[in-house]
Amino acid sequence: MEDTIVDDLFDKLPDEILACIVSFLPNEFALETSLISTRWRFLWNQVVVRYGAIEDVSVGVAQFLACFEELDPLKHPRKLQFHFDKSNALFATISTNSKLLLEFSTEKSENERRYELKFKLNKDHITHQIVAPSFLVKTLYLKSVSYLTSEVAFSIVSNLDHLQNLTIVECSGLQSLFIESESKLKKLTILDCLHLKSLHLRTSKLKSFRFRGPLPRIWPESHFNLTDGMLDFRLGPKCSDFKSEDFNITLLTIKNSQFLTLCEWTFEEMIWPSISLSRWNFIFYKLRELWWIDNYKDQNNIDALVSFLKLCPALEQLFIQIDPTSYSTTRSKSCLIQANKYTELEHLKVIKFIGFTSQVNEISVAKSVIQLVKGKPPRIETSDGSYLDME
Amino acid sequence: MAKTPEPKRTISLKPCDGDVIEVSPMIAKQMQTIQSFIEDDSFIATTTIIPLPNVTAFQLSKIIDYLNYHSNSKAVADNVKESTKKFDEEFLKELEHDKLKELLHAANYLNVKEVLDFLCQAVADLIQDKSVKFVRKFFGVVNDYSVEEEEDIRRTHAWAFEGVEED
Repeated sequence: MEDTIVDDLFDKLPDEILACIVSFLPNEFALETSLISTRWRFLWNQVVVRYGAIEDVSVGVAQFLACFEELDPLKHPRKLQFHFDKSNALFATISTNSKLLLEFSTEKSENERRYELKFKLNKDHITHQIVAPSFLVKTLYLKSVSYLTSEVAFSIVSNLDHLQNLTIVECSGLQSLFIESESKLKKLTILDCLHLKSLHLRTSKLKSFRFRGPLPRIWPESHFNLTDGMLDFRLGPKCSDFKSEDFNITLLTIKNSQFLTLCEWTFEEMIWPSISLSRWNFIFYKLRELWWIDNYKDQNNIDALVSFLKLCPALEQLFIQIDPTSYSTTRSKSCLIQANKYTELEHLKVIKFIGFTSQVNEISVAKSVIQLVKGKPPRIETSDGSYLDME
Repeated sequence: MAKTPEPKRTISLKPCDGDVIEVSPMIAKQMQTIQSFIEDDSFIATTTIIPLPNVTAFQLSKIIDYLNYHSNSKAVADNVKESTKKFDEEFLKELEHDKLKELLHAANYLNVKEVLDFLCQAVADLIQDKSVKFVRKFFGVVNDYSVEEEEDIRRTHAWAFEGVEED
């Protein structure tokens, strides 16, 4: 009986009290409370709402960051809404682990206009800081920048000297991107920036590069060895005149990677022509996990995958995703069917299929892969979550 | 100026389940609800007993204890920090979850900020690192999200939870 009374009592507590409780929680858990119920959805956060001109935005963000105290989040809000120039706005949210999310919302008509961004990060001599921030941003998520807001994005990002992890999402109109960070940037993620044509990287410490979108011209100016490379170019090349030579420097950056996502066409068109000339000296010695995206247009033909697997002696886990909408090369595949010596896959433990619609296809692909395996056959998980027994 | 005889120095509070409790004006002042009673013209300190139908004697005395201790310890030097901490711990130890929730409600009714902040912090400490399910149960909240809505919120928040293992 008492239970019901207590619960009823709690229900009657005003939002301010619940918000006060939430404010004492660490950032990440505070965010989690939004899942409790609809009433709690927005309690975790007070929003500072400000209005101004577009020129004031970067100062507004700098002040917001400067005011925030991680140890006393009750004192200052974690969210800023900056409205500028009639119908545009910037949403800034701070999260735990020194993360900042900046999301722009601008009129649709602006979204198509092309622009370029040049980020020079981790420069010690930057002095144009408006307010020295007490909160150091190490991870930045930059979302929906447009032509109109590119200047603002530039001036905010230029002030983030401690950035180690940069994610750029859905920046339509972004045509050319240059990033310079010789000392701190370790992770770069670019997702769904569909107009990107040129990507110039001067980032010698980069360890993780994750890209989803049409393949732009990539120029890694300083050499770096990626541990984790996601090259999800299933939308095809951005320009039709790409040659495999253009991809050579990028290929060198993924050579020592341990985790790799690769599309069938990228291997066939961009990688294979170069390495087939090098007479099998090009081996991905460290690759442990491969996520392979295949269009599987010519059914029963996974020669590209088989050719690639012959270059991956250390592979432990293989994910094969079928996406019929993904780009496929127009070139002949006959060049792939060459008999070559190769080291067998001794460490492969798991094969997982994703997106297959027929188990017949899964069995057929599994057979081709297993021919390369030496020793104990791997566990094979099908697209519907069951297991294949190939013995 | 001739001193008028000292008026009665305490405020009389009547909890719903016990005898009248006398508190000093300084303590009463920290309870916003009582303060507005006192400021009312019809209030006569000597005779008026303030009824508190939503507060039990136990809750009232807990709140008074807290205020008493903290207003006294403020007056002394700052090397009382340790003993204050000890007092706070002891204070919470005597409260089961249900009692804590009821006390929070009483503190809210009396609108006493110092105790509210303290109890909110205590509740936050309790639910921190617990699952959303636990917190729902703790607060007696029914999840009124649809599966899609919940999924949607998780997706929008995904950026904040990525790479937590780093640093």
